[in-house]
Amino acid sequence: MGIRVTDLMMSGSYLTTINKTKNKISELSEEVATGEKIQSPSDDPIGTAKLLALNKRYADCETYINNIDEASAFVNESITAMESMETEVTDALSMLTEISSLSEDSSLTSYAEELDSVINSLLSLANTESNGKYLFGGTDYSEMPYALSSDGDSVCCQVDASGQTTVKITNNSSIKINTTGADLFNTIVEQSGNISSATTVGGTVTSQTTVYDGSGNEYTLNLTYTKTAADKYDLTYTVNDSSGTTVYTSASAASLKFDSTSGKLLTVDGEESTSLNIYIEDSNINFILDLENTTETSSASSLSYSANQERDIFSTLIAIRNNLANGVTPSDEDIAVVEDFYNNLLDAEAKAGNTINQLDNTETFLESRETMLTDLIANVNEVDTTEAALELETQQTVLELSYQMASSTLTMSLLDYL
Amino acid sequence: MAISRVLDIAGKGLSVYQSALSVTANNVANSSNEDYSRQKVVLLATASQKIAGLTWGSGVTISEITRVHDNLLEKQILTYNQSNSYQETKSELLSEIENVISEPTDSGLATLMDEFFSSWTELSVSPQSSTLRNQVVTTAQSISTRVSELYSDLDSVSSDCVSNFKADVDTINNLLDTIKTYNNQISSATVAGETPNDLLDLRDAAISDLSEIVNISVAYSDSNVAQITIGGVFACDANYSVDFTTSLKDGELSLVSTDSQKTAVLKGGDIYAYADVYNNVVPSYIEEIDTLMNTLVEAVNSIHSTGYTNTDPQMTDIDFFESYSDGNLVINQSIVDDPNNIAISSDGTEGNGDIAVSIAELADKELIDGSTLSETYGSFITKIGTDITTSDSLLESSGQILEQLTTEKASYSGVSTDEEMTNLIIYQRAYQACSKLISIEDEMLDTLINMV
Repeated sequence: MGIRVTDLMMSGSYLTTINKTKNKISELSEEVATGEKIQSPSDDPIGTAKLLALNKRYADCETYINNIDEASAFVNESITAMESMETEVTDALSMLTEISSLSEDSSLTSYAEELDSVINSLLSLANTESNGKYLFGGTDYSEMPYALSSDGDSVCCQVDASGQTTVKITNNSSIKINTTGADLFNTIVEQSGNISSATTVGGTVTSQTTVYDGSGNEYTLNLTYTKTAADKYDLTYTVNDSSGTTVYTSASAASLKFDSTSGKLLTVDGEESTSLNIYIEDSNINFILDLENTTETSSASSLSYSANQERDIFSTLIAIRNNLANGVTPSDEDIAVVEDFYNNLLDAEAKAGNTINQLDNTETFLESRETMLTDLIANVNEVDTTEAALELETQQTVLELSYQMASSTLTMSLLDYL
Repeated sequence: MAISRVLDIAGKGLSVYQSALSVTANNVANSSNEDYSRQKVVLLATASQKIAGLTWGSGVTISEITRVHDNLLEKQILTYNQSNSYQETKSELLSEIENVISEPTDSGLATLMDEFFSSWTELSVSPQSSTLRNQVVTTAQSISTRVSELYSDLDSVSSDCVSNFKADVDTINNLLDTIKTYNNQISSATVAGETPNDLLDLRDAAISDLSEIVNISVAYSDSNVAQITIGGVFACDANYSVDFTTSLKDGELSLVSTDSQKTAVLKGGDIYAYADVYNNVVPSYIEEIDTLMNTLVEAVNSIHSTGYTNTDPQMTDIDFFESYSDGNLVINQSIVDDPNNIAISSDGTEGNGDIAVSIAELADKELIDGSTLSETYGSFITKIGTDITTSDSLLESSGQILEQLTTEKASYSGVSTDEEMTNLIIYQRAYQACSKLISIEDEMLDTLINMV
């Protein structure tokens, strides 16, 4: 004899089947309605984690693309400003060529006026501002970076114009987007070499190099490093003119801290910096002392110097203008300084152009990555609508069948035939 | 041999089949009562008699009305009731937690943390922008709000567990009292030689209800008394039922007997789900969130404190987050009041955003056991998802077994209308035949009388 089939058993089994089918239909309807497979973590725990990670990567891409758009605007503005500078300097150079071929010096004063307008344009371009940022002022936006000195004979750099603006453009790369004023206009005296760590506390290391004023006169810079503690030094300096007279003594000592293992310079006056801006207004001396390549190791002390230029463009142009006003034609050295600046400017423009290219390439890369991520997210989370609709159809048929079966068999019993 | 003997036998038959029909009627009437076990009439030929050297049958009688019941099956059902109701309640509670977490959505913590770190990246490009500084504060506030919501939602799940646990304890006490009363009545009836079928059904239904709430073990005595223990603690017999109470000590929810103060070891039933979620699940989830937030606060502050603000005078050694504890993520009030106090300049210049870059890079740093913050959070979400799917699949399997057992019970003990109708025909026909015997016997008697 087979299994006894009782009324409760039949109704229970029909109910279970119908409930299961209805649950499935409800799940499928939600999937079809939202187009998403994962409504909650339990729908697919691993898939949810994947989805969260993919969403994060997608959000990262969007942020980096925003950064790139912002950075591109900044670089393009820098390029525009540099192109205007290029026009001004080209004008100045052709003027200087004209002057050198002049037979008489009568019109030199008018050239002086013309050059004065070039200097002013160049100065205002050096102070170009965009969205509260000085394009060539490094990262210090507190003051206009360049200003005429009180005697009008030189342009001083009022801030540390060497600060670099770097922008994160992918998870593991950043790009420098600003052309620093220091690179473009300033004289940078780079010190390289070593300070011996064997120096006793209180002991000194001295060194000297030649620096120039705005008119090209030679001075001697005497640097003294006094050891104050392990890896720590106080830097003081004096500037002597060619006759040996001290024209300037540093007002206070700059305290330097080196890394005890790598020997690299870590901070100047407690800040993460490796340079000092030296400006002696009375003598028209203005340069940046770059200490990035100065180390402190056990080797013997030995320091050397190199400078990107002897004189800066503003001082030179001002000197030429003053000479012209006094009827003196510019020297070949003067013209060479302007030509150097012109080449330097072209280099900076090319570099900025490269930055734009790099930003564009990265943006293209990020956009294609966004597309890829969208695909991956769709793979994890998107409902195959056709499949879901078919499945829904099947389940509905199953449900109808169950209803029919239940309604036709549950009502039947032997009673109907008695 | 007397003619009246036939009348006697047929008369007995009439009464037997009338009784049998009433059992059938009772079965049919209870056909949709799930707790009812069908009853069966056991017919017995009455003792034969030896007359004139021959053995004569003396008719039929009802020897007993049995309850068709399988004790083993019933025990298995009790066992699976416990695990099934545990899994079912746990599943419901976990789904509630899952809703609270609200992932993967735009308002989930994952997205908010992404937005927080993105806001630092964007700020690094324009460090002096007050809009972007405000954005950093807003995204941090969103995290703070979300975490505090999570905490309070998890807290309400916990307090629901406690109140449901207490309600279950009341039900347990009522059921134990009911079972004790039934036990008592069953015992008296059994001793008196009766078969208290309906009482047994009622008691078993109460035991079954109890097994859905808490893990029990049942032992039956000779007099059919069910002795019940809950998690190793004696709960009831025919004379005594223990009163249980809820204990909440050191964050542990447990079931304790009022008189002996013994703690029941919970292993099943929905009371176990409440205790499990309250004692283990919610605390473990809260710990995950705490670890995540503490790490975030520590990592962001350690970098932020090295930066310089965008204020005059400049300040350094400022924490971005003031504190985090128990779901309260507090952002430094001076930063909320003036976002220029966000210290992202590493050298003090206004345009330097190095600190913001370093903070943004925390998003990809392996800060917790070799995983990033988002990976840790991702695996936490996976854990919740897996907890639910595990619980769901256990529920499905225990549900299937329980369904099979219930079907078996329904097949064995349940009423089949067809069967009852067949019995009805059999009993009716037998009754008709007995009546016929009587009328034939009557005719015979009539013939005999007329002969006189």
